Amino acid sequence: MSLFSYIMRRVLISLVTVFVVVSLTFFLMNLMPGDPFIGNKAVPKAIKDNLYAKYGLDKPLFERYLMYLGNLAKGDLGMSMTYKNQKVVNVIKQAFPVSADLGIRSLLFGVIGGLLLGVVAALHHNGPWDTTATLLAIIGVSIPGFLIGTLVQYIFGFLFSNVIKDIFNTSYQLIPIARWEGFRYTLLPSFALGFASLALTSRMMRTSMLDVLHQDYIKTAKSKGLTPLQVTWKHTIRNAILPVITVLGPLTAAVMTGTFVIERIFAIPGLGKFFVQSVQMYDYTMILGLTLFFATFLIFMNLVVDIAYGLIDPRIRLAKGKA
Amino acid sequence: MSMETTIKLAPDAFERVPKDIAQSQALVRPSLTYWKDAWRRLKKNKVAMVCLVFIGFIALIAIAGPIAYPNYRANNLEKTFAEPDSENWFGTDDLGRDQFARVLRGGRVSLFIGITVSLISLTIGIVYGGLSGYLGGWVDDLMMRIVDILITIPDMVILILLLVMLEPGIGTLILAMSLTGWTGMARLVRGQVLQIKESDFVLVSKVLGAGTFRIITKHLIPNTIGIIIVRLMMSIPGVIFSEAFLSYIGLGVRVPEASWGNLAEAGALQFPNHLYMFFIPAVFIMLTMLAFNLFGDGLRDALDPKMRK
Repeated sequence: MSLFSYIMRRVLISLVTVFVVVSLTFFLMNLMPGDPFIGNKAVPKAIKDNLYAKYGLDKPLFERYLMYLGNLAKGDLGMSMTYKNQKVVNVIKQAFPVSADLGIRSLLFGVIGGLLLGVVAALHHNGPWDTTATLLAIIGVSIPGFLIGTLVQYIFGFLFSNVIKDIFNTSYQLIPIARWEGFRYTLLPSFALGFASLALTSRMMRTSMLDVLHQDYIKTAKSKGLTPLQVTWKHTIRNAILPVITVLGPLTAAVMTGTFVIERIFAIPGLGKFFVQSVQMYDYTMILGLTLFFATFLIFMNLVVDIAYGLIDPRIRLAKGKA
Repeated sequence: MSMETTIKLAPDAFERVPKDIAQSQALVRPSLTYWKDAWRRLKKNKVAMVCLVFIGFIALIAIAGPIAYPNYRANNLEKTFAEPDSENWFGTDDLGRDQFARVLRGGRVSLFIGITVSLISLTIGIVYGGLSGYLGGWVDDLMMRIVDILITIPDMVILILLLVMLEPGIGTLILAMSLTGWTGMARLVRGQVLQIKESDFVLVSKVLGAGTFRIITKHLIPNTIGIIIVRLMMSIPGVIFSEAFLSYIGLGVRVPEASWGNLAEAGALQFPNHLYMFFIPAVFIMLTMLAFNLFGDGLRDALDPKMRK
């Protein structure tokens, strides 16, 4: 019961949030100076009126708001106002898989790498691995992803690949620094985007592991005569990994926002480009659609992580039940 | 299993220690206030001290640098993309502007934004969280549900919308980032207020007849200030990061104004030629963020010994 009501409450808050985001975006956007059809050219009034009529901009604000909500319920995000005959939904369908691909790759790299590093660091507390992990964690927090992106472009895509070219006397670019056309192309962007996740995950995992290692049940497990591997795998890692799950929500958010710049740096045809462009061109429907999509996606991911955590960790449920 | 005591205690084996109240009350070590104690712990932390010195240095060049080298906007089309030399220490950019002056100016802008946004978010957060925690009941519930919803909205969405809606510039950037930054602080302060409100020493104080004002000034503020200062320190690099990020995608500080973010972006546009244009601002961003983060860690350990691992 308590878990059920907990989930219901989270779902409710998420739905309200999505609604607030839609309304906020809609009204803020309409307060923006300028509109998509002004541009630099002087448009005759008749054409302008027609354009306004076509996109429904001639109607009162509140009516447009209700219309938008109505269309939204049908899953229609409208037509783009700058790209001719492009539905916003189609743009998302086309570009999001690329962004998601990049995001998933970098998350996998960051989370798996971070977990491994965190475990090794905690098991060799105060050893060289531990120092490495701590250093990486602090560097990962301090160097923005877009700087890492440009740095690795320079080091691997430029210096390293040039050395390869010289040695084998070819023009073959071993690690490409732009576009999205195969596994080789994904290496640098995924690394640049995932590095911060790796740092954060390893830091969390290390702290959590150290915490668990001091618990009495670890002592019990050891005294029962379990092998070190069994103790580490079944008792330490299993318990230590729980709090780290909570970081997945914020990590997804960070990776999603990070794709904006990483896609720009590496010329990847993802959603980020459309987001920034639509904002600069006052493409109302596109901004609204992308914001809504972006926000809903993040809110949904947070919800999933929260519920998963509630399901996995019985202690959470108990504490919530008592409260 | 039982053990019998076989030791016989003879009364004359003991000597009575005379009561010496003066001696038992004497202070062996000087008493330390909270701040002196924290400073003592902080001084022992070498990494944090190095970072503190570095932050002081960056602050100094951010304040004094642009006064000494004010020509960060001056174009010199006869000398574009000059490599660093004795005249232009950090070289010149695509319009022949002196990169050294621009980096100094950029440091001032980036630090100014970082500190201002952090202070504004802090103030809003303290007032909101403090009120919420202090009033309690349904007001608290309502205020916190609002924060719950605001926290769930991705920051970047609000930032981008506000930056597009308002005139681009430093003021807008500060406003937009403050509007999204305060929620975390509000939650933190509310939690602290609730915890202290329920604590025994506040109860004692109340029983002894202390008023609200006295409780706030004597108990609430001294007990929360440490955590709040640490949070403030840690939020500055975050804001510098966001500013750099926004300037990098072209929504932040715009040329001819300089910030470390838009300098790095200008450098990245010339990539891989003219590498100095990218690397110099990038190094400044990294070192400054590193220093703030490490100093924040040290400060947290110093102000809250319980947090120490």
